[in-house]
Amino acid sequence: MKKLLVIIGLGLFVSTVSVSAKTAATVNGMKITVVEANKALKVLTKGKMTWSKLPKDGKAQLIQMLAPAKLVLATAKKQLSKKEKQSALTGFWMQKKMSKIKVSDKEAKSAYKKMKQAAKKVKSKKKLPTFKQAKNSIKMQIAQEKVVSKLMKKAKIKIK
Amino acid sequence: MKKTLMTLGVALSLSATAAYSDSLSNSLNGMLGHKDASGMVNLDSINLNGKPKRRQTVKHVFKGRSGKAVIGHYNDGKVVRKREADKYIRKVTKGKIKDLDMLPKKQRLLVLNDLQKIYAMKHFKHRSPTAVVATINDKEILKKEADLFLKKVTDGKVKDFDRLDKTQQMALVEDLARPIVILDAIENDIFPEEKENIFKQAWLEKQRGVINVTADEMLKLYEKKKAQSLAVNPQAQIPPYISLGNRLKNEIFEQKVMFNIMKDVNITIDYDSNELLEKLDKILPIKEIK
Repeated sequence: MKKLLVIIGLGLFVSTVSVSAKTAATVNGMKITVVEANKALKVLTKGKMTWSKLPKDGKAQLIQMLAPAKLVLATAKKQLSKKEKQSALTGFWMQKKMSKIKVSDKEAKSAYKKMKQAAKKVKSKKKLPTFKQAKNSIKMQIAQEKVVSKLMKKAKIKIK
Repeated sequence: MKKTLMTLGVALSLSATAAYSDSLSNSLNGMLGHKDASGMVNLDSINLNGKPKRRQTVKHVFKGRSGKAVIGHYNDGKVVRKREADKYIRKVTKGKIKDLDMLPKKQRLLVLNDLQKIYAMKHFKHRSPTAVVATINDKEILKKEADLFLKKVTDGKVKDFDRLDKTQQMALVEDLARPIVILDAIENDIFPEEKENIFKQAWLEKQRGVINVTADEMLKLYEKKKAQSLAVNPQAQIPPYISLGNRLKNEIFEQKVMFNIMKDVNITIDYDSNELLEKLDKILPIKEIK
């Protein structure tokens, strides 16, 4: 029994390694693994087809379909600057976090009042939008502040 | 008779005058003898003929603490002696005030504060640009990074992080920390696959600014689609061009991106890549493992 389990374990390990490492195709030298091909096929055929069972022309079609995504990703990684990448990630992350935060109308109104007072104080000539017009952007701003302040509270900052 | 009457009249008037003058002289004499209770200033002692007396100035000798007295400490722990403060106050007031102890406490503290600032400026030591000035979530911030950020936020007015006091340093590092803390959170919250999709989207968005889609191209595509639809169904209702504007634009954009990206692409398909798996399937039938 013990022997059988060892063999099964070993077999599973070998098969997993082989599947993940096995290349179905290369696009400009970039690998598309069998796992990736099977993943796409699972969605496309609702689990009815696998790479091993796919005929030659089907395989060619599938790779033609998967190639642009690979190429776009490689180009994006190459052409986007570090700053652009960070900005894209930050934008996405912020949206994700902000969607979980609730900002009441009361909070937005109080922020609007403060904004109005500040504008009055500096004698701004710029006409402020009405609360109704500014409500959504104020709410977004408050949500963003909440996300950042929550994060900053957890941050470990030391001055040397 | 007439003579007698005149003599009598003159005698009477003389006696009355004498009586009045007596009462005035008594009253004046009485004033001199009694204390004045009228409340008016008594100017009796004024000598109108005398020269004004010189008022004697009373010399007020102020005695402050000794020059050796310790009045505070500099930021490196060195003591501040009173004589340093005296010297400073003499200089600042152009000799009008020579002793610190002549000032009220509030002003004495201001003098001490000034002395501490001057000392700090004089004995200021720059740290090396590669010195670690702060840590944010264990990530080290070098002085050169903090200096650069400081220069940026002050429009080049302040360039040295070490010149800031502790509160200012903390405020600056907190501002500097914000993007770092967010990027740390991103690393933990976003999966690699999500990250790849974000990069792809960002690149495609960037391409929108590079790839141009003309109205002619859009119209051409519209006519093509219209012809195709009518070929299949001559009765088909074709939506107006204007309602498909953005959709047509996106389609042409995607075509152009695809064309650019797939240009000169080299694809190699390994048709036999399933061989090993099939062999493994035979050795370990999945059904049996289950």
